[in-house]
Amino acid sequence: MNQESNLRADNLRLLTEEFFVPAARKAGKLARAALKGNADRDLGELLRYHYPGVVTDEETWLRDRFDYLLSFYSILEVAALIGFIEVDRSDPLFRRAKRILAFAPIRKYYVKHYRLALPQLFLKRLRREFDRQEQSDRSVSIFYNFLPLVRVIEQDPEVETFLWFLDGGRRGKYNYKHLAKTFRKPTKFCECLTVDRKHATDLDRSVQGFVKFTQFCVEFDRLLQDSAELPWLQAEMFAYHSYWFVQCSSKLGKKLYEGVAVLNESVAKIYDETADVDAKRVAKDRDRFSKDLRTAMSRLLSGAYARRLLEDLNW
Amino acid sequence: MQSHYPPRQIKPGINSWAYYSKKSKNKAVIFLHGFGGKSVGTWLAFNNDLFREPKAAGYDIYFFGYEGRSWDLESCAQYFLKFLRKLFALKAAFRAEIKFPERDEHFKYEHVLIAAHSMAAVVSRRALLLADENGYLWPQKTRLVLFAPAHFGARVERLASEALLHLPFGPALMPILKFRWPPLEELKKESEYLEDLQSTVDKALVDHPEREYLIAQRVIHSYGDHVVEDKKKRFCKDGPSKFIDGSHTSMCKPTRKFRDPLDCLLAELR
Repeated sequence: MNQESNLRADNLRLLTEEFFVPAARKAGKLARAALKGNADRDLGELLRYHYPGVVTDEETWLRDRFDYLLSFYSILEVAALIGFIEVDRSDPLFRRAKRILAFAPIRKYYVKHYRLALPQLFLKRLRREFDRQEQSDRSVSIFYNFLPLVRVIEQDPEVETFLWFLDGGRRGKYNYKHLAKTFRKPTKFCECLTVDRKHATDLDRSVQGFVKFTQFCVEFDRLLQDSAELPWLQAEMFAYHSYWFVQCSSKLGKKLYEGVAVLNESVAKIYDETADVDAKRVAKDRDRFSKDLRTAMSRLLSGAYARRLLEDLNW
Repeated sequence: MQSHYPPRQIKPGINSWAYYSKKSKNKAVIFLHGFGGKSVGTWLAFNNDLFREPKAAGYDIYFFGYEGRSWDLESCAQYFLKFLRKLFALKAAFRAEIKFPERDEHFKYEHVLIAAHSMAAVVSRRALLLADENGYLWPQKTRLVLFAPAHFGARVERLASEALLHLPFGPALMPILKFRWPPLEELKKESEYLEDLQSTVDKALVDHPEREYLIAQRVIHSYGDHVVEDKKKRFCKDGPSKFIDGSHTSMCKPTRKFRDPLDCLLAELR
C-alpha cells in the first residue's frame, strides 16, 4: 500500500469507529440474518411505511437501528465523493454494504417509503454505476465541519421529539397540537423552554427541540453556503438531511413558519402591554428573528442545494 | 494535505468534539461557547479554513460543550476546570474518554489556547483563577483569546434573545428566564460576580505578576455587537481590543469572505 492508500484506510477505520455505532451494527447483523433466511423478523413488515397503522415502540427501536445503518452508509458516500476514503470493493465492509443496500425490503425502505438519496448513490457507487469525485483543498475541512452536525438530529432527544411530533407522532398525551398551543402562550413557552432536562416532559422537550432545530437550520444553511464552490459536496451534505427538507417540506416549512410567526405575535402582545419599551426596537428585533430563519429555511426547503443530484436520481 | 484526524465525539462536556492533529506539537486549542451557545455551532465554519492553515497543523482542536444556560457561572467554571485539569494530566482513563489517539504514554500538553466567546470569557478566566487557588501549575501553559467577552456584563434581554434566534423576550418574560437561567442575572453590568472576578484577577496580578495567563492575549469585539457592555473598557491588564465586523454571534463564525475571526486566532498560534 502506498502512503495515500494508507491514509484513506486510516480514514475509513476512524469513520467506522465513530459512526458505525452499536445500533447500526445490530441492524447490519439483522439484515445479514435476513439475507440468509434466518432472521426472526420479517424485514418487509418491519420496514413498512409508518402511516396508516401503528408502529409499536419495539418496532420503532428496531427501525431506528436501520436509520443509523443508512446514516453510516450515507457518511461513507460523502467521504467517497471527496476521496477521503477509497471504496475497495473487495473489503468485507463494502461487500456487506452492497448486499444490504440491495436487499429488497431495505431498498424499498430508503427508495420508496422514505426516499434517501445517499444510500441510493452509495449503492450505485458500489456497483460502479456512479463514480463522481469532487475534491479541493477545502473539501476535507468542510466534511470535518459537517460530521458533528450529523449528530444534532440523530442523537438529540429534544430535536428528535420535535421532529417526531412534526411527522405526526405522539408521545404520551402530547402531539404537535399541544406544541403549537405553546406558541400562543409565551409564558408557557418559556417555562417549557427552560425546564431542566431531568424534569422535562415530552411537551417541554418538543419546545426545546423546536428552538434547537431552528438553530440547526441556520447553522446547516451557513455551512452549505460556505461550501458553494463544491456543488456536489454541498448537494450530498444537504441530501443527508433532505428527508426533513424535501419529503417533509410542506409540513416542516408551514409549521416552522407558523410557529415562528405565532410566537412573534404573542411576544409582541406582551411588549404592547408593557409601557416602558421602545416599540421600534422590539419590532426590529422581531424582524431579525424571522429573517435569519426565513432566509435559511427558504433555501433549504426549495431543495435547490441538491437539485442536480436529485435529477440524476430521477426524483 | 490532511493535518488532522476525523472528528471524535468525546465524553466530557455536552456534545464535545475533538480533532486530533496527526503530527501533534503538544499544543491544543479549546473553543468554549457562551450563553445558550453550542460546542460546535457557536464556532461553525471555523474549521472550514482552520484545518488548512499550516500554523494549526500541530494543534489538537477541542470544541467543549457545557450547560451554558441553566448552570450558574461558578458551576460552569468548575466544570471547565475539571476538564482542563484532566486534560493536562491525561491519565489513561481520561484518554479513553476523549478517544485520544495513540501517542507516547508520557505525552503532555505544553501550550493550550482557550478561545472563549461571550460568557465563556468569564467562565474560562474564573476556571484559571480556581486552578491557581488549587495550586495547579498547568495554567502557565494556557493563554486566553476572547471573542465578544461579557466580562463587563451584557444586556441580558438581548443576550437571551440572541441565544434564541433573536426572539425578543420581553420584560414580562425575563423573570422566568432569569429564575431558570442564572447567568442572565450574574452577567448583568456591575453584578457581584463580575465585580468579584475583576477584583480577584487584579489582586492576583498584583501579588503574582508572573501569572500572565490571567491576562487575555487578544480581545476581539465586533462593531455590530449590541449585547456586551463597555466595549471600550479594558479588563484588568488585558490589551486593547481589536474590532471586526459582525454581530455578537456572527463575529466568531468566519467564512471564506470574512476571515477576521480566523486571522485573530491564528495570530496567537505559535
